[in-house]
Amino acid sequence: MTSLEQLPLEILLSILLFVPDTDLRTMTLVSKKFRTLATDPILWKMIFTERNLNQVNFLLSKADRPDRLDLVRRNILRSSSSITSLTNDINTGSYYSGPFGVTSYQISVLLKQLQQKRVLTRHLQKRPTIEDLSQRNLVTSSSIAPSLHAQILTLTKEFKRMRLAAQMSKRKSVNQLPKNIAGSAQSFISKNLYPVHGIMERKLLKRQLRNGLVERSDISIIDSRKLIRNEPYLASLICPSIRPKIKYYEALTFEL
Amino acid sequence: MASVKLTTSDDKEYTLDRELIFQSNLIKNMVTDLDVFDAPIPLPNVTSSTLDIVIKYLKIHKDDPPPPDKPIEKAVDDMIDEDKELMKLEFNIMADVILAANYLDIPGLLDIGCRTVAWHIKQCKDYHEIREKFNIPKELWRSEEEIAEMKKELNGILG
Repeated sequence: MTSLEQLPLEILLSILLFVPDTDLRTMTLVSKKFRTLATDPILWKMIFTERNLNQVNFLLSKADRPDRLDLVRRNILRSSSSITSLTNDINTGSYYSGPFGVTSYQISVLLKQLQQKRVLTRHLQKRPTIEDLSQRNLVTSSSIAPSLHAQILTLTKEFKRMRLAAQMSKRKSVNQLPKNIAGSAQSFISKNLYPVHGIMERKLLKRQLRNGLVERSDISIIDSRKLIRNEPYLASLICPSIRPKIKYYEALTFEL
Repeated sequence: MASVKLTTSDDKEYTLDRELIFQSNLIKNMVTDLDVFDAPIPLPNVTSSTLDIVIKYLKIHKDDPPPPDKPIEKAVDDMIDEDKELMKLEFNIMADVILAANYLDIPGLLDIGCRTVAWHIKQCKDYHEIREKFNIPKELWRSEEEIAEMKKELNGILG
């Protein structure tokens, strides 16, 4: 009786190549030899490459691409993507491409500034005049200079105040008002003095409450009249600050 | 038609056509290197019964083109029906056939043998079934003496 284990290793491996991966897992349980064979890394590599062949082909087609570090060493790329970290690298001297890279970076910054200046001047030459803007109703006052705006604002404010003062001096007193308006006091209150009215009412209520509290009868008098029993619940109602003490004693009694 | 003589381990002689037997790379290389046609070639690892099956395979694949160098296709059932019928064997004989194919260096037969074995493995449900089918002895993770010692210790602990 020949067993499967007696076959040479290369044949066993070529058999396991045709076994699907779910059955390879059961093959690991058969014996020690098959455990080492079925968990062979090259075999599993082949399985995984077959499973995602598209990705592998894509990676293999891009294998000749140089590294990022190589590009930096050949002065094609900068060492880091963001400018702040790059300036830090320059200051600390840990820049990949050395002093040449530093000078090239500084020149590039100068060139950028020059280009921005040129663009700005071009746009300033092309910009429209104030008269054109006023004709298009984009700007209201074309004649006034922007430095006078603050003064104009203060002047308008003072003018408004003067006009209000003149109107106040002209208005009639309460007695001079016609009778219909003076007689209806409630409507007058509700309209103009409602907030003040509310405050007054609240103050009155407070005073009444305080008077009542000062004149209230003591617990001993109530006790003598047998209006209240000495029960913890009622006591807590009268004096809420006792409640935690009552709870404490209740807990003690429960424990006992 | 030139012929080649073979003798198996049972001392049986076979006379085969050159084109038929040249599918095995071993005999092809041997004959072309030595230029000997009359003397029989001994095959000490192959019995006559296995050689019959190998000759059946060679007759089926007589007119096949040479196999291209391509990566392995993993379909287990990717075989001709005649090959399937040929490989309906017990495992003992099949192992001999695979070994003979390996010795004679016939890549097609070796491939078919491996595929059938893999197919049989695929049909099994448990590892117990695989053990029964392929005569693999049961292995213990520890030796029996160690297990007996462990059992003794356990009994001592449990009382």
